[in-house]
Amino acid sequence: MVNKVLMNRSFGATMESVSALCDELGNVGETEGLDPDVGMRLVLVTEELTSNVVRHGFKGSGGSFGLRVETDGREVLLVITDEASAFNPLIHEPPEHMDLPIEDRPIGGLGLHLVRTSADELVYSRVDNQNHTEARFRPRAAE
Amino acid sequence: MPLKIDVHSDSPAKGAVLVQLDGSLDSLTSSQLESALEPVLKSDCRVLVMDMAHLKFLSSAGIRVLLRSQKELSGRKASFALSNLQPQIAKVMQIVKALPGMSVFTSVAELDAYLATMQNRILSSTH
Repeated sequence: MVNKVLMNRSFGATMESVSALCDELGNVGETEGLDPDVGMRLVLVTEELTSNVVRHGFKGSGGSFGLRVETDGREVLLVITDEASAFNPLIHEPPEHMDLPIEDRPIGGLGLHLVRTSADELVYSRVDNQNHTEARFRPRAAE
Repeated sequence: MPLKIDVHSDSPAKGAVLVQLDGSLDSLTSSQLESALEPVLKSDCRVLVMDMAHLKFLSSAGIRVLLRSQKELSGRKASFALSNLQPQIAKVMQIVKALPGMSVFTSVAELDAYLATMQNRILSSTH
């Protein structure tokens, strides 16, 4: 299977670049005719993961991250690499407070919950002082 | 995508503030909404309605601002409501189970009826 690469670039770790690349990714998804729900989840997961790298990984102190997105026309693969401090989005437990009434919930932990429910597969590895996070998206049956 | 925020405190229902969002509520823009809501939350606003008809994207950073506002208002017995959620926005809110604690309106008519009820309640509580 030969995948078409939709994006493969390095970005400065700022919220401005997160915002710009999410806009671009949304447009690319539309142009490429991706399943709209896949395109939406791709942008959401990209926003959550890359803003995490900016905010918590580099703590706003610069740095950069790499982003690669490829598709076979149906499935989409997202790969994010960064040299920020180690962060495994999988080992953070799903927040148990999700079932509490809203007034009783602590705020936070929402982003990773969105990532885990929106990606169909999530793989993390730490190699050569780099975080390597992969997310896959497949069309889902209409709910 | 930028976020356009319009705050209307001149609603016919006294004490009600309507905030219209247009664009993307995300990591970059959530602080803008936070700043825009600060004076509203400090005021004696009784009802805050977020009109999300033109909101195209919502991430956890934005949800946090909505939840915080809701929490603050319910702490002083004021109401927080959302209206006109687009399907992709409603979906994100459902994933984090943020909707059950909030009032959600699907049409302007529904919202108007709610505001009228709130106005009556405010009037009757001040007399």
